[in-house]
Amino acid sequence: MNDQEMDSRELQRQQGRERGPVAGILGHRLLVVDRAASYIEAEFRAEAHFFNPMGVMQGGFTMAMLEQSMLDAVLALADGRCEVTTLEIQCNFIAAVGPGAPRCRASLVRQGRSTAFVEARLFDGGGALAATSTSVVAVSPEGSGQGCE
Amino acid sequence: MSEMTSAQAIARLTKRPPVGATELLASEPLEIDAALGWARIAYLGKPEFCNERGFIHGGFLSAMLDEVMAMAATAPRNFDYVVPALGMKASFLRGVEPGRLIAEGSIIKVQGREVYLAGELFNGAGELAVTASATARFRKLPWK
Repeated sequence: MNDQEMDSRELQRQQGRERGPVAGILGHRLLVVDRAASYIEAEFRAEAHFFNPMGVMQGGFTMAMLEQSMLDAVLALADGRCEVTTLEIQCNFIAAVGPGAPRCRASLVRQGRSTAFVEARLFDGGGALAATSTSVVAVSPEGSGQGCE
Repeated sequence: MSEMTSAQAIARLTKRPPVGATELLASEPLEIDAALGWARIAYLGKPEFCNERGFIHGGFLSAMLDEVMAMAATAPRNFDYVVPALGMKASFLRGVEPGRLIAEGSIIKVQGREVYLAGELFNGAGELAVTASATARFRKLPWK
């Protein structure tokens, strides 16, 4: 199997992964897994129930999308099956995000045995960069029940 | 600085036009110190905010903290401003199960148009579950 076939198989496997009801409310859809380049892409839905008094996405929900994409990156790119828990996330808000389908691109910066360092960018529906983010994610073997985000 | 009492500040907030994020999070202001720039708000951690392990997704807890910090920031200015965050950090100390959650926000420092903020979120048992800090910029509401 070549890289492309491996990526496509991993994408299917990750798309089928149980993420809980929050994936529905975020409009989450995993679009790309690229193991060689070490990134994933996911799409979300920016709807009125995420908006602040200015009629644009409240920063916390931008963080929710970035956080989800960074967890996706660890799950799809880390070696072996694992459970993941975000320990901390930092986000810079560059531009407002209006209604539409923002996309996040998340990269695994470094993965150790129990910790992953991840970064992500969020692009608004028109493709303009709107937020950048980094996170520290605790990684534990699947089924260990140690993760508790 | 505002001389609103906590009850006056809460009344003023609840009279505002509905805001999507505020309604989704079932935001209920409990106490506001408008002189200090401090707010305590109750939120509802709904089952639909949960991940596959039954814990509230960190981003939704970040959204609660973002809002409570914004309320703390704008209270001294009678809520006539918004404070879009330039940057925000959240640390997740423990998993949070669905239910009523309490968050507190406070102003650390105002410097010109910038404001530095801190926030804490407590789980249903009253234990500290998330801490946050943010840097934001005052912007007057266009209709004020």
